[in-house]
Amino acid sequence: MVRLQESFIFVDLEAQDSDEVIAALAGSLFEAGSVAEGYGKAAIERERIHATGLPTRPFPIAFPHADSEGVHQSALAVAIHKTPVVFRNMADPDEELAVELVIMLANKSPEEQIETLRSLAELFGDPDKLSELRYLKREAKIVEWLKRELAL
Amino acid sequence: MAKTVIVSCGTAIATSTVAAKAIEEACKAAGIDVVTKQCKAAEIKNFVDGADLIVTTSQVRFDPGIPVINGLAFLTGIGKDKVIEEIIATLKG
Repeated sequence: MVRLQESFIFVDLEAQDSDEVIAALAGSLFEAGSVAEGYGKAAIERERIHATGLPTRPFPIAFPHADSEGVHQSALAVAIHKTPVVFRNMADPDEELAVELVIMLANKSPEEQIETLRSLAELFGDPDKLSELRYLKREAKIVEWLKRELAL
Repeated sequence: MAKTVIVSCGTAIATSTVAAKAIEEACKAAGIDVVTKQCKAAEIKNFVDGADLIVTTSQVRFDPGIPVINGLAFLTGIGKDKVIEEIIATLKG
């Protein structure tokens, strides 16, 4: 079971850098009790060592996450940026990507979440779906859309 | 004998799980007996012995002595079929 609710969705988020985005997303998960307080910090540190930016089409995305330690309950949080925020490319950390959409993953058990992970990978690989999600604009719609597309 | 593929990503929690599953399925369809081992990028060294191939989404900063294929396509969907072909060709080779 992967938790997803309106308080985990940030539409038109204004953030200076990837740290701010990750902190906002992790903060919403912490407030709902899904992760421990240190999860955001762990994800920010992890992002520095192993970037999670992906050169997807039609725009780059990122999916920050940390170890399952500190995750009480698997959850997804989403940020759609007002203006793109720089994340580094997972495959080439020297490359900066102007990321428009961030999906944070709090994963309690990778094996149990395999279907959700695969649905996410399918979504990342589908330019039409990413565009659709990008322009939904309302938290409730985004929750509903993701629950349907990811079969949550 | 089964081929061993090391599948690695940053934390071995998301990316490598998706990639490992896709590799297992593609190999099965191609009639290749395969075992995947998931690990963090930093742990690759400990798994190289006896392995045939590394599929990773991050960079390998040493010479592992076996082929390395970038597995980012399993997440972005871009060029995924080509990467699967490359994996199968390498394992058959």
